Amino acid sequence: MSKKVSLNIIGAGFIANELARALMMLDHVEIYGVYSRSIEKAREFARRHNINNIYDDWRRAVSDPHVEAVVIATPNYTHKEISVEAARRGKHIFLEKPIATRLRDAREIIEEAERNRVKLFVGHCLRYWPEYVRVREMILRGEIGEPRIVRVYRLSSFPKWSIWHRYMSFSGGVAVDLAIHDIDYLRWSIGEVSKVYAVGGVYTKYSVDAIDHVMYILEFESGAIGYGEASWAMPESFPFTTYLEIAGTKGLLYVDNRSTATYNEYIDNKIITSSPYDKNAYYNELKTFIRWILYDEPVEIRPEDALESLRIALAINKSIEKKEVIDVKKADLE
Amino acid sequence: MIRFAIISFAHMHAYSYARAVKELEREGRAVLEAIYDDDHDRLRKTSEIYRPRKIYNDLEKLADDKDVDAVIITSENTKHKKHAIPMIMSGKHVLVEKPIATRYVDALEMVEEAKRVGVKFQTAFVMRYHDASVFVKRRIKEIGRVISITSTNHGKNPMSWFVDPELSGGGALMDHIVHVADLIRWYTEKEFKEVIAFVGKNIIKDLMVEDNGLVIGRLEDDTPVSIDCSWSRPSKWPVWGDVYMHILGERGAIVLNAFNQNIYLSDEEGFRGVYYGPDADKNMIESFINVIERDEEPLASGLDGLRALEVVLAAYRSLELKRPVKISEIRI
Repeated sequence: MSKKVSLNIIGAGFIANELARALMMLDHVEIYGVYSRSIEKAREFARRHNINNIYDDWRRAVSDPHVEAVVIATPNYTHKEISVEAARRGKHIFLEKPIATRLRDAREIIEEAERNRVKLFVGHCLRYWPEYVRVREMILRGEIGEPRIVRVYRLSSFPKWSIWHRYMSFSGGVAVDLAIHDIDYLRWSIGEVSKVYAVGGVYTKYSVDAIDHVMYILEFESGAIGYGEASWAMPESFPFTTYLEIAGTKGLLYVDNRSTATYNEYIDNKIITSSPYDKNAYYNELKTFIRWILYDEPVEIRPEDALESLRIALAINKSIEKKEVIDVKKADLE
Repeated sequence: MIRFAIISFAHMHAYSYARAVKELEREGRAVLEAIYDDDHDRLRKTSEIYRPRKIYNDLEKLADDKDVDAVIITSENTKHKKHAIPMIMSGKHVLVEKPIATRYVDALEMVEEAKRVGVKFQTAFVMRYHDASVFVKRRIKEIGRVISITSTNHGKNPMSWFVDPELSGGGALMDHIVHVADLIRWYTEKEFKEVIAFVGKNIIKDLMVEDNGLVIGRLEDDTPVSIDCSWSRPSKWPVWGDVYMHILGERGAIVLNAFNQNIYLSDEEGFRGVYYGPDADKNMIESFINVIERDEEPLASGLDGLRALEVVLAAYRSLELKRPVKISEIRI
């Protein structure tokens, strides 16, 4: 049990920080180093999380023989190049969602991981947040009968911690970056999606060409339908909001993040609303990844799931562009 | 790895503690060595569910069992001392359900005996192990000096022995003051100075104990605090109750609503909340294991249990005397 997985964190941004905090709580992990394009940022990150080595060359970070795994939390459009290189270097990969911004990139990552026999885990964290886990258990136990009508929101002000979100080709827009959370969760919990219709556009002054607000309808193969909304266009004062509602043949359930908050803090004009949880979804997903490496314990999320979720997110973008209903299996979403 | 015995499943918390011990058993940190119960039917039923290595209906024999490192006492409130003392004497560590006891002398004897023998004695103040209330402790300095605290610990009426004063030592005041009184002490690092309590006409008729209560107190620096400890939630209320606080400081405010994480579900059985928040029970038992293995002091000690009980006893005294009662008045 004393074996440790030594890994490098690729990226030093918002999610990398969350992932590092979770990694620090895990027993069988050694964070060897961190990469950032800016060596100053890497140094600051390393100081904050007590990490010994820093890189400003990602190729060195993913090929360093000291590590057997990498945690990739870089901007969406860089996922392919970095993951493919890491796979070629024989590193197990934890890749922050979305797997990529294009289907062919996603396929290339998956193929490269298979070819080099490395483990590829795409961090669709909703599968590890307790309320989402619990709701799925309730569905599988038949507590609401067969799911029929679904409703999901994921609403945020524009992410301003970095500039890549603003460009469609870098982030994939709010569908690929944010709606994909709910899409992946619903595929996992309700089943395959057959058709997508969506409206949306570029609404905020921060976006250059990235679609920052989408409203979409999913048709599931089971006969269920779902309405979803994902936004980066909410006012700055609007707290990050998630909502999930499922009406089934025997009952209805709902849960949201705001009315269930356990902690609120008010100092001057600043309000913090949260539900503190030391062992949160990031902890749980990384624990799963590490145990997959160490003990080959089965994991729920396969790389193909991440690819299929991306396909549906791209169908949202396509529907907005074409103003048509998109058949997920038949449409050309490349 | 700590080998536990659970003493009695009279208190419903025993079921979640047993569940937590079994989970920790799978993680190699604990073993459910034994269950003791003075209720034969319950002993048979719970041993079938939790499969301890041994079962006991004789307390002396449990005390003599050298394979038991620690006990969790979840018997009726007035039996805590009777169950704790023989375990302490035989060198077992003790985690006792709240309230620590129903009489000051009993609580004092348990605390002093544990200290004399040198075993760990922890009070089951689970709120000290809930991620959200722990987070308040981490942040409280940010709001400056605390000016006032308002708190509630509402619940449904648990009925059964909880409404039999011989076994419970009292009603809502005895059951629900201590959790939030303990949080107030923990957060402010100040002791209660005095309290006054009011009990209204009962919600449920013909009970032998009070099912509601409101308390206002002052801490040692005169900070005003209030506690609503009522069993005021109807039996069909969608969740069991709450642990709520709003804390006003000189520089800001904090609101804690610890059991607010619920999925709401409506089905044939009605409308209810399904809790999905942190597992404070498991955190608490894990912490108790760490305390024993690393020879540390419990985060919520026997003395903390005693101090919280003093607040309850002062509240009852104030009902008799119809005036604020100083904590020092109930110490002997």
